[in-house]
Amino acid sequence: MEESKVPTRTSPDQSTMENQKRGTDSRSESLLDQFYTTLRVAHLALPSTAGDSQENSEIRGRIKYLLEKTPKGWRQAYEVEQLMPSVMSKAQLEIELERRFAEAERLEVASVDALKKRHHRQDVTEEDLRALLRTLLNDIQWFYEKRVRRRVLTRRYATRLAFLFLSSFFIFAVMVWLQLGSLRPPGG
Amino acid sequence: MQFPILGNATMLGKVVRFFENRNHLMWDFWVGCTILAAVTASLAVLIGKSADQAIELTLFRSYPGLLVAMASGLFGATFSMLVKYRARAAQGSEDDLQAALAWYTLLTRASVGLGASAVLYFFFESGLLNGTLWPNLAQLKFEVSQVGGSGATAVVPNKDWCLLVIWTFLAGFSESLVPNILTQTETRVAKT
Repeated sequence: MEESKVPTRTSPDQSTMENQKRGTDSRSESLLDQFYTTLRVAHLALPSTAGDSQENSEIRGRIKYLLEKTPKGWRQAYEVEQLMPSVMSKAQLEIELERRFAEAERLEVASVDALKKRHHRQDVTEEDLRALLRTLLNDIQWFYEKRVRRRVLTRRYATRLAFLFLSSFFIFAVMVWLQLGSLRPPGG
Repeated sequence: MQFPILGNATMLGKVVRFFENRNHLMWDFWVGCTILAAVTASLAVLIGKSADQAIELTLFRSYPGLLVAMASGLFGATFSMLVKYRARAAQGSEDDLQAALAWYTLLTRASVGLGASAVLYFFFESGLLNGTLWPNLAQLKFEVSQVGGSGATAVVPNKDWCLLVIWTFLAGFSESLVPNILTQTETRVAKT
């Protein structure tokens, strides 16, 4: 299938996704399942396809393809999420923007104030809303990506430190034992 | 990582590529095993048995407490890293974290502890540091001590031995203790 024309974020780091995929267990899989369910419902709620432009038809096709593609993955789900604004109705866009602004504020996403200012302008068009939502989604996804990567790094850091600490303790204990052999008191 | 001089077809190149393609945990595991194997092999080479079957090491006899002091410094350095872990993980940027967890950073910090404790040991040995707070290396020994009232005995390190371990642990733990001592000594030498 032809690649979507909608701009999507360049993947942050392949290893992040690999670690994410590997490091995630059943808990993460159930989160992904839940995310897919939400996306499928949102997909069904999209306005009818009558009068769609060629570009929108391609986007709908791409969304359908990604939702059906197996195995499921966070990157695919994120792409679907980013494609949705292009085919949403204005009412859906407004609701989704409100929800995402609240989420971005809770996460303290840096761009949220600038985007909100743009959203509250009088001359904001439907295309502006789509662009705003796409940008907001992009920034939120980037935040989650970084958080996952940070978790992976933190876990590796802790593992290495624990290994070094236990090794040094082992070496210390061996040295004390060896020293005891040479400084042992008579009859001790 | 590229090894242009070695070329891709060499055995070393193949080994390096093999490890590059492993996941990080696998890589950590092999690095860890190599370090432990190196330490164990070094000990195996150093250790010999005397006539009375007590484990003896020439270095232990010539410089009593030196290897224990260095091990204590290493222990202090890794303990220091462990203590700072939470703050670094919570406050540091992703780049900081990436740099902090690199093996070369961890081993460099551990080496600082090792070196600082060795330097401190020779300060004690030279008598440049005098006072009751500092260990007397000539008095390092283990003593037989009574345990409880049953007449049972145990071999325990004496006060100088404990002081040596504490100070060298501190030398490893604190990155500034030994540099400060060195600076003060340098100033004192400059005045004379």
